[in-house]
Amino acid sequence: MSDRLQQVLTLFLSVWQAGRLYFSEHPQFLELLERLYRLFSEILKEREELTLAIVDEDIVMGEKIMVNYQQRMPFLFQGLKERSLERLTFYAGLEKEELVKFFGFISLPQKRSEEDFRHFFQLEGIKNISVGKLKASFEEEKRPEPNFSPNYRDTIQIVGLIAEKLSQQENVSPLDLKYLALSILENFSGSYWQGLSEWPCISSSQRLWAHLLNTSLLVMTALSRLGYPREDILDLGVAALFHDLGKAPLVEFGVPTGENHMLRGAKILIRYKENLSSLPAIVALEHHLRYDLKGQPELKGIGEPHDASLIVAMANIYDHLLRKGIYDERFNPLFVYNLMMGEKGRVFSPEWLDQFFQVMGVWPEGCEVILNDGRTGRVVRQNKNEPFRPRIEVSSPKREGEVIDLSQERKLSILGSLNPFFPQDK
Amino acid sequence: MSERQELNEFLINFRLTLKKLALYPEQHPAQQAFPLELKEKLDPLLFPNKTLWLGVTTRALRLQDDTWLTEKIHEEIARYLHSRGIKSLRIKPGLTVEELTLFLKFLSKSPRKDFYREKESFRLLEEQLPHIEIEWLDYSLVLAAQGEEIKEVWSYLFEKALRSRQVRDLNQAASFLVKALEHFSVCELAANDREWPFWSHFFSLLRENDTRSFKIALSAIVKNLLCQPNQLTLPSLEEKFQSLLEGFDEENLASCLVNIFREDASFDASKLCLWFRLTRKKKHGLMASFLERNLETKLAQWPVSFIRNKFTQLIQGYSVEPYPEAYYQAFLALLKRLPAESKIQLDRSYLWKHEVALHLLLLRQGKKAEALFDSFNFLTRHLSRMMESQDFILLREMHRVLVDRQPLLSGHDEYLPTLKRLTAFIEKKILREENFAEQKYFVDNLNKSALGLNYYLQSIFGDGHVSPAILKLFFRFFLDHLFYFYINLDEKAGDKSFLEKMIASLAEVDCPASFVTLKNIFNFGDSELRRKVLSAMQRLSTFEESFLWPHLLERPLSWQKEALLWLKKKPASLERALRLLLSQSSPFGLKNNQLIEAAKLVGEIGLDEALPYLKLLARRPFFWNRRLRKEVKKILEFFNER
Repeated sequence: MSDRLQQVLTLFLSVWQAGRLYFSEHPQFLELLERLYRLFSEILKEREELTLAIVDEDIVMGEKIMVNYQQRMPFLFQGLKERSLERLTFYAGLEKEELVKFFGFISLPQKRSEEDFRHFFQLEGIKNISVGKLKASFEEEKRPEPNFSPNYRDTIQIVGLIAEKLSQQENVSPLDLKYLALSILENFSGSYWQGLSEWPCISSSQRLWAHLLNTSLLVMTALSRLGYPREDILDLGVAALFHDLGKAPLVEFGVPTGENHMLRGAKILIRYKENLSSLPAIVALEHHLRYDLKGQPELKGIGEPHDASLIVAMANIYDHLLRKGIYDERFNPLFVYNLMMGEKGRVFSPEWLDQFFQVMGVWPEGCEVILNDGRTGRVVRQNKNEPFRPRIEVSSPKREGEVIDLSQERKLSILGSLNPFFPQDK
Repeated sequence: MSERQELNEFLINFRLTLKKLALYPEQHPAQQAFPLELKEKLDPLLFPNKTLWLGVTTRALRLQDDTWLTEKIHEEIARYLHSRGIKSLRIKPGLTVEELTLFLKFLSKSPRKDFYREKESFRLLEEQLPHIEIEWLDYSLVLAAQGEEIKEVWSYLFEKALRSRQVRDLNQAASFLVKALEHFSVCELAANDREWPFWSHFFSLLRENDTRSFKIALSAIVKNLLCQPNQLTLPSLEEKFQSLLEGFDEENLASCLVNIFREDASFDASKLCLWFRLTRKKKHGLMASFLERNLETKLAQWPVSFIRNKFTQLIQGYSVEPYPEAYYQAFLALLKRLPAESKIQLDRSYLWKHEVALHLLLLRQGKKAEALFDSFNFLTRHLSRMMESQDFILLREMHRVLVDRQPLLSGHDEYLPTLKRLTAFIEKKILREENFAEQKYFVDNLNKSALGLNYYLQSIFGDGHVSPAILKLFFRFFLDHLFYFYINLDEKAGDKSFLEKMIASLAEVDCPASFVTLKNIFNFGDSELRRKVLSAMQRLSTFEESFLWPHLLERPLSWQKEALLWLKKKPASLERALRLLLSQSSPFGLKNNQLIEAAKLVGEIGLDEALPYLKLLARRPFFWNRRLRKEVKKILEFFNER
């Protein structure tokens, strides 16, 4: 029985991830679901119900307790938490259609309350699944508010966990990685600046992972705004997530000293080529190559870095430069923009650099800016092709909450921005 | 008061009573009074010994004789009862006030979302309500459609609209028709033979009174016919709808077709053929024009990829299921007007080249044999791909690294075969005289032939391929086998164009072997070839002139010009040649013609070194040398003028 319960757990996560990544008619999703349903049917012939519950860092599945599973299945814990699920119970008589609808619902990115689930189950006629919190009552529950900091820190940890696994050449599921990239995009898209503000509070041991997360977020956000297909966005998100893997402070047996981190990272990632394709390894290798090929390492046989490498290189440097704002106030978004534009055609691909700022703007969303009429506000949305003229939510001194579209209000312009690392500058 | 009026009285009071009961608390005296008032209205309907039966739909009540009650009050009550899951209500004679009160209280509680619970809670009261029977709605019907009732409602509304001709009734019927078509096929709705003859009239009225409703209703019918073509099981059914659609103009029909185009994923050539059959008597050229015009407005609104696929599918289907040509031309024209397809996506087609570059780097820098072998294996597997894609930069780097890392890689079984494969590929390219990037590298760095001597000989002398690159390689690889080269060369003695090509190529290959080869050609060549050989020799650093002397005085003098120029490289040899040409004795002027020819030759090339010899010739005595002296003086004058 224990093995089967373990199987159920693993399959459950796989089906869920497949539901997040693919649409509900996708063969992979259907195949996984079919297997899970068969397993459920077998188990539920012998018992009336089967409960999956999360208790602290343990998973309880039926009568089996799996201790300290949060590290082994971080996505499951994260996903259930986001959806306020601590307990899922499946009853004898479970129908496949119920499972399909259930996974379709939990695969959506929105946060859910217990009430949402009740309402959904009622509407869809799902009678053989129940969900809720452990200390369940049927009180009306407030819809959970997104909580940025803990979520961001948790994700940094997960990135670090996966990076360690890769460095140690452990098995890593490609689905897990894509799922992680998808979670980053869904949870933090438009919140890069907010994440950046967390930087001073992030411990030094976590900063590399935070940088990887930031870079991945920038890359995926830019590509999704440029209209790239989801597959490309996620693949590049994964590649960006481990572009500096070679910097991981881990000792790999037999690694020659003096080897640069690009080659080191590429060597690690190329071993996962069958599952991840060679894209992450190529990006790890080339992200410091520069557009003019005058960077490192010296690569022969190619005329220019791959587009993926150029995009990640851009996001990598962008994040590095903005973070310098902690030590040097000059490094505000406009300064960084001008700096990067100055290296167009040398370090950066002209085409990609222009496109990046066209969709990401000069001042990222969340950035506090000062207008030429004395007001301050927060950038809430970019205007495509008008990188200097985003939409701003005015914060002070008057007409708070008003949203100004600078692409329409041509008399207004941004004079500068407030340093997020020194909020007392306000 | 008529029975109908009494019924309405009751129903109005019924509704009022429910509202009032909801306003007052449980124990309020009004809770007793209102049911009493209502009972007074109900009693005439149950007298004598009659039962009141009400069927409930979402928007109407139905009596036992199938009369539909659709006024506002009826609709309100229907909605009220329907929301509680009640399909029908039967009130029997003998109903008491207490029963009625209990029943009204039951109804006036907030509707439960769970109809099973609603049903269950009524079951608890059943014993106390012997004169009231409720038929409950099936749960699935509550959530989904209402089944056969829809048809009944449609019939009622259709007849009512035709009777009254009021816009309101016509619209009501039309909107209900649209809803009904979500659940039934047109054939099913139109199955009533009594109603069918009036369908055209109905639509005419609708069109006259409300164009918008008309278009929506017509669109719904067309959509239903085309999305469910299987409903037209008999030709008579197609004819039936032909007659209906005949009454509509091409513009409206085309507009319906545009909607189907977008909404029906399976709309294809066969459905267009069906459409053609259903509208056979219409002017399809005109309809196609309207269709094209309509679709053109959609080009900017609908996704380009969707439109492109749709048009392409229809155009391709034309040959299998021919539909009117006018439509085909319309689709072709529209397809051309679509913007160029730009599919934005990450280009991964050349990712493999970057991976090759990675492995080349690993191979260059690696120190452990196992790691090197992994990269080597990868490169070996991709060698064919590099060759197919003609990526000579990668091939160059691969060759370079294979040669540089030979000490570490030579232990691999595939090392030599791989190197051979690569070399053979490059050699073949060169031997076919194909120019390619990085050729110089390969010509300079290939150390061993993969193809062999015979391949080269065949290529050069059999196929006629000669180039500096080919000769460089041949001389490098097969220096010990030049004998075969010369044998073949001799056999080509009569092929002038080949020899000219050979000479030109040899001139580019500065090595002793080239010189020797040129000498060979000189030996069997005619004057013109000899001139070319000697010009080519000018560009070589090898100098060995002994082959000239036996031939120098051959007449007519021509190539000797080039010979003298070449001999300038070695003044002593030039002197010797000049002596031979200009100093030979000429007893009684017997060889004066040769001397004059030689003098003119040196004069043509302006060879200063020949001046002393010319001056001597100009002073030769005797009358038989008069012409010689004269000619030589002319040449000397030319020298002086210069």
